[in-house]
Amino acid sequence: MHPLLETTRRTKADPALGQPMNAAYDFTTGMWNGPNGALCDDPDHIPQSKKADMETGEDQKGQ
Amino acid sequence: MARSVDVLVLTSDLDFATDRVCRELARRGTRFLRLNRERLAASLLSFDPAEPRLVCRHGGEIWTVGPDLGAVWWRQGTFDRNVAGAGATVQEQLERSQWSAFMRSMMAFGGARWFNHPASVYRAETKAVQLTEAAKLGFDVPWTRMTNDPGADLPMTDGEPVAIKSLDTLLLKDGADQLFGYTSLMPWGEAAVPELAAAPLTVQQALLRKLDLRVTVVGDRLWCTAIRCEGSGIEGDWRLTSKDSLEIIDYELSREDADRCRAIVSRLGLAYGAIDLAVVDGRTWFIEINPTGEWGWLDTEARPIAAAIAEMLSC
Repeated sequence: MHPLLETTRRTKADPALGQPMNAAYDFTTGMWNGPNGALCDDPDHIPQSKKADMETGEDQKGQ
Repeated sequence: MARSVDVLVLTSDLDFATDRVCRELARRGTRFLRLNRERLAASLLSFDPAEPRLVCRHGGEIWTVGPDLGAVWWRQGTFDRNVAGAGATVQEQLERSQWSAFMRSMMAFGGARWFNHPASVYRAETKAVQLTEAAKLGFDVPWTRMTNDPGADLPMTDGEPVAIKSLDTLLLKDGADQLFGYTSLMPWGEAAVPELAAAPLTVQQALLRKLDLRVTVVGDRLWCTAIRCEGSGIEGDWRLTSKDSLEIIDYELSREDADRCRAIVSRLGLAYGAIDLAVVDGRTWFIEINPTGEWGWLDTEARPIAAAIAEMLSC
């Protein structure tokens, strides 16, 4: 097997994993809002990024 | 009545860090329009490239982006890495290809200040270009080969570990799974297998007993943080350390290295850049720069990155 394939980390690619729960996106303000207000201030409701071993495309490379 | 737009924000649904930029833009009274690539079909968009002018209708309201547009915050992929696209329906392929081109068409707003311009991002995302420019600027750069040759002549001793990494972000889909490539440390002999010939990889001098640094550059402003675990540097790819165990602390970069960081951002035609450095025995090594790198995890009152981006866009 190619070394790059040998060393990749495999996770479930469930698209729902990257989506915020109990939150709505507001087109005009450009912000997600959850039960505790702005989602960007509420780490518990933001889907985890690859900084927590999961790739969400936060760095905009998952086109 | 149509709303005029000073700043165009082109990004995606899950770019939560850009939520903070939007909030900061609103605080400054800057008129902006955010378009997320996944939601474009939920708006009605019409673009006149000759003027240029973009009209966006959404929820009964109208936004107009004219030739006097001030700035663009571009948070789009410039390479198509969606190799799973082969499984997409004809409708999905149509939407993806045409909306992607529509977003790129915003480059017709040539009078606006772009952060960062897609053409610059395209070049700057190429690791070989980054390493070349970094070496020219006087950064210490680990020896590097991009090769598919198991017999490549490499400048290290037998059994010494090397860093193995992809040439470009490695994000693959395999059925219900996704595969993500991290940097791996191993003896070259373990990577130099016949299957290597199928595709090149990057083999690089392993930096052992290192301290990882992340430098975030926004215009002339710069923040440097060290990434540790239990008070020490992290061997290998720090992204594999659980988030709860990571310690993100401010780090005083030397003036010389700070100037080099600003210089490489500028030389690559960027205004924003996320730079990875590593300190080993007092020497600072350049690892890479990401022109669309994440920064939300570093944004605090002490490191007001979102506010700095909004300020840069609003000027």
